[in-house]
Amino acid sequence: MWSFILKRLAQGVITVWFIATATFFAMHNVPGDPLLNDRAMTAAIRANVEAKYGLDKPISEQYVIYLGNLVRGDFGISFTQENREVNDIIREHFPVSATLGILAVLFAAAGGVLWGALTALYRNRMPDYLIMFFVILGISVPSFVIAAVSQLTLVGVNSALGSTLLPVAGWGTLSHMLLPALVLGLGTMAYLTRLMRSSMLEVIGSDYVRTAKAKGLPAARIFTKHQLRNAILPVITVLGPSIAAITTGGFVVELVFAIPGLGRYFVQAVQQLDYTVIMGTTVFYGAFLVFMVIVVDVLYGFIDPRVRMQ
Amino acid sequence: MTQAAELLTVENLNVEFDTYGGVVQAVRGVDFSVAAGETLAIVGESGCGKSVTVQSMMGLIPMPPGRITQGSARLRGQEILGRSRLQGREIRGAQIGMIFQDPMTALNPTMTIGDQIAEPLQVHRGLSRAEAAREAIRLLEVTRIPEAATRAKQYPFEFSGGMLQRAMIAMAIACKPEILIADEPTTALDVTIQAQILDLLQELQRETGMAIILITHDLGVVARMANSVAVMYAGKVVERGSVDDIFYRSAHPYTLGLKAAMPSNDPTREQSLQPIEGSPPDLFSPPPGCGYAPRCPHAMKVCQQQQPLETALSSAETGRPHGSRCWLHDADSPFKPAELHFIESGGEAEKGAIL
Repeated sequence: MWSFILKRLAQGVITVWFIATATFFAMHNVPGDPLLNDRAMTAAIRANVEAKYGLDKPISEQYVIYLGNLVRGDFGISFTQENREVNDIIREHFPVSATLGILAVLFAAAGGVLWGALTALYRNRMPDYLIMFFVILGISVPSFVIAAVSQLTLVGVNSALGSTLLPVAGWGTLSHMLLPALVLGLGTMAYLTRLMRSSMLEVIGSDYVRTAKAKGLPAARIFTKHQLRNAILPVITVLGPSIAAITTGGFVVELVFAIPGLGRYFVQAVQQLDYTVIMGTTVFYGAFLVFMVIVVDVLYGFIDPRVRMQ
Repeated sequence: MTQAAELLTVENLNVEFDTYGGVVQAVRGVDFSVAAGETLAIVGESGCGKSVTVQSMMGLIPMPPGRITQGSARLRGQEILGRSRLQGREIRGAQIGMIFQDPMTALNPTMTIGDQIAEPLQVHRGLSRAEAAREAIRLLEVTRIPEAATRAKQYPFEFSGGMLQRAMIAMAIACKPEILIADEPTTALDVTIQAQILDLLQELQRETGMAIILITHDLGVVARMANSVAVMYAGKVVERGSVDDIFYRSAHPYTLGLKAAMPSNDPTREQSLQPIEGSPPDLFSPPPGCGYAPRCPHAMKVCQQQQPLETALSSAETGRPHGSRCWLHDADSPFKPAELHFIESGGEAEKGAIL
């Protein structure tokens, strides 16, 4: 098990290095440069500023310097926000995005497993049709539409009640987090529901469930001990990529709900060609996702003994 | 026909399935009985309804699409068909144990072997987890699995096929059932492992006195294991009797066909393997007459038109009833019982004489 974890971590480091390299060269190939926006830019000032940020050096040298800083955990200083370290931006705003993301993943996973199992148990009956209707809706409607519609509905509900059931936007308490997390997780929940449904149907028809019935076990025990654990395996497999989908989807939802997450900086930095912030947020997000995928793989090992043994 | 000693009696069992293509009449009036401590073999080719018969009896057929339309199955005189699910559970795993064809897929891949064997003990006998785990190890020892304590903590993928079937047997006999149903228990195993598993079943039967219902298409296994035999064809039992009646005094043309189709290593028998020509009838619309008539070398006009009833044949010293569902043996048959020996030789000349 330990060698498995170490191997996955080593692979993760290589992946992150690849992300950093690809982003670095792609970014430098975008037309324009980060200093174009400043109006009072004379040739002399420009030379000074370029020297300060090391932009006057050849790109290969910049790459080596950058990797050196990266290994030391230093993402540098933002070009557009005076004297703000990229590390500070991440430290301040990432916890907000992470909280939202994790909450959304929990919603998606719990909901997906629950609804998926229900639809399979009630296959081709009313609960199945009803849930699958909402699943199709959840998959096809983009999250910013759902976000806006849910906000509008919430405004209506709040004014009808005369008090605030849930805040419509902002950040701070758990009540602020519930709606955005639900909206953010909805698409993934719908996808996981479909996956869980087909996986559960396969398990229900499997030989070992027939064996469990032949042993005379009560239906509840067959469900918890034999069906759920086996049906959940494919869901856990896609949980890693799902976390990626939810985190990137988070940029839009953060904007709609006015949540001070990292997503805003990520998008702004690309528009302004703020090199250090682009690199910092991309590499950080990349590393975070790679780490989450590894966590999911290890988790999988605990649930499926066949993986654990290898 | 029922004897006092019968443990399980199945009468006129009918099972249908709804499919997109229509209703399949998989089992069409099956009768058989098993006495305590004896082995009944149910034989027949694929799709003849052997497995559906026992699985519907055990409540393992998903309903819908499956449906038991008629019939009864009585365990010690108590009806077990159509009981509520809760009562069905008291029988499954407790009074009737069951093992299946493919042990590789019949066990839960994410649960240890020991836990899976312990489950019926916890549910039916009310043992605690620890007691059940100890009993599971003892059962693994009973089924001759070496290092049972270590093995109990392992998962199915760490076992070989033969070992898994032993574990399945341990699970099925955990609650000391009166009947063990073995649904093609050795079909998925190597020949050498087959022999070991059959030996084990016989030993366990001697020790516990349980009855075994063995479903198979292997006549070699039947000869070795069974006391009595029911031969099934197209959802019906076409011939039943003691194992000697079936092998040495075979009456039904299908039984004879099966025997002729058996490979032999007897050098005195020069004839090669003789397949039964044709294929079984479509059970979406079963024929009005005998299902075997289109393939039967001795078929008469009546065979196409009307279902033959079971005719009791003179049973030899075994004391078990010997019956055949064939018009040749009917009271109105143009042949007297003594004249029917020709069908055993299966010659072409005689066939012409009948037609």
